[in-house]
Amino acid sequence: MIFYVVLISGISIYEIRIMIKSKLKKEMVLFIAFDIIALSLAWIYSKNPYGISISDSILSMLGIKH
Amino acid sequence: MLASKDKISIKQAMLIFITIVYSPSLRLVLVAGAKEAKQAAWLAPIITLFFIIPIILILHRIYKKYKEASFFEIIEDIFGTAVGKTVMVLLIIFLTFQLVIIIYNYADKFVSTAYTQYNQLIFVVVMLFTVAYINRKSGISVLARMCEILSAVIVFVFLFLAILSLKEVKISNITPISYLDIFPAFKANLIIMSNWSYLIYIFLLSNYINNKEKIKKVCSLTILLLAFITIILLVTGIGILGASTIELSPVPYITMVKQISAFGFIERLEAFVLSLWIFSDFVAISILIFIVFNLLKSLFKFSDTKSLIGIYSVILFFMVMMFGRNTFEVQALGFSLYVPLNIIFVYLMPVLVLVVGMIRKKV
Repeated sequence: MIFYVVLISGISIYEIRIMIKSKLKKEMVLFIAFDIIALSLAWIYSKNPYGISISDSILSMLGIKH
Repeated sequence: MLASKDKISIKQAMLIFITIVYSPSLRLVLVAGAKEAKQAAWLAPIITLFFIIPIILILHRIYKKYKEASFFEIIEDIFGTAVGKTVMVLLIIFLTFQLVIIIYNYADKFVSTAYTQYNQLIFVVVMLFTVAYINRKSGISVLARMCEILSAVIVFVFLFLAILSLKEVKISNITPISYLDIFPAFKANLIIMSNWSYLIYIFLLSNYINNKEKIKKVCSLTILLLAFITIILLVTGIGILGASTIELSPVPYITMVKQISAFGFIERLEAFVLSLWIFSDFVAISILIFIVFNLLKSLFKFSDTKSLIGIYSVILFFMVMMFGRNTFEVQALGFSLYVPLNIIFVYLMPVLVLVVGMIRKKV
């Protein structure tokens, strides 16, 4: 998890600095939303790297046999 | 053929389309064709033509009126802002899932063929990093110029391999054909329809495409060429290996290419085919990311979206890694949910735009 947090933080610091310089405020809001999604996915993935399956969850949810 | 710096010509757009459909055709169309229609699978592309040609005519009609508009602007003008924004959000979510499936299939192809001892993660990271870097540094025109050369190489290599493998085709594997094969061939046609839906996706970048008055001619010729190539693929694939073998093989085209040997020195050509596959996947992923960012740009009226590519690639990475525990789960999701949704969503959209546009006297 630490590696993923460092990676996402690194990308965020680099890009946000560019966005501040270019005055891209609206873009920054979406960037922060993407940041939160990325961190959440990193947390879920690091909890159980080989056990989660989005495909299986969707198919089970819709009752499709597979 | 070259267009202005940030724009591409309709010919270049179609060369991108040919490059993109190469990989899923070899991997999915062959398997689905053999599974659904057995020896009659080669009839499926002919059925698909009856669906895609009217869509080309519809696109021609729409873009005759909206020459320079982006797809979002057209939807917004015809349906209104609320519907326009809802369609865009749905498209962004749908395309993100499509990207995840493409990246998963790309990595899985390597792990199940040439690099069985490697982790999928390596291939996903390398691809996403390359795509993010190139998308950040260059635009669609660079990709279009790459495709001008490589689409020609792809078509040449494919036809060359097809000619070499023709002598191995067993006629008994692709016959007999009767009127009873129409329904199975129709089912096989669905996967081809889903595959060719990239043609409509490319028009989500319509604001980057020049000389759209040639849509009817250029797109029709491209689709006829593609139909011919797909028929050859199904005839050689099923004709050599047989439908039952193809159904059980994860990458039957590679199995088929491994059997090719000519003049005593032309053999082991699968490495070359795999390298073209990487390029095809790379273009597909790059273009879909470009489309997603074009939609985001239109939706939120952004001036620059390049800063978002890095973090979006990280999101894609985690989604791919959690997308399926094995190929069968992803294939099940693809065939039972993604293909029907893709057909309904993508093929219905231009029809609805035309019908509502005509009612509102805008098209």
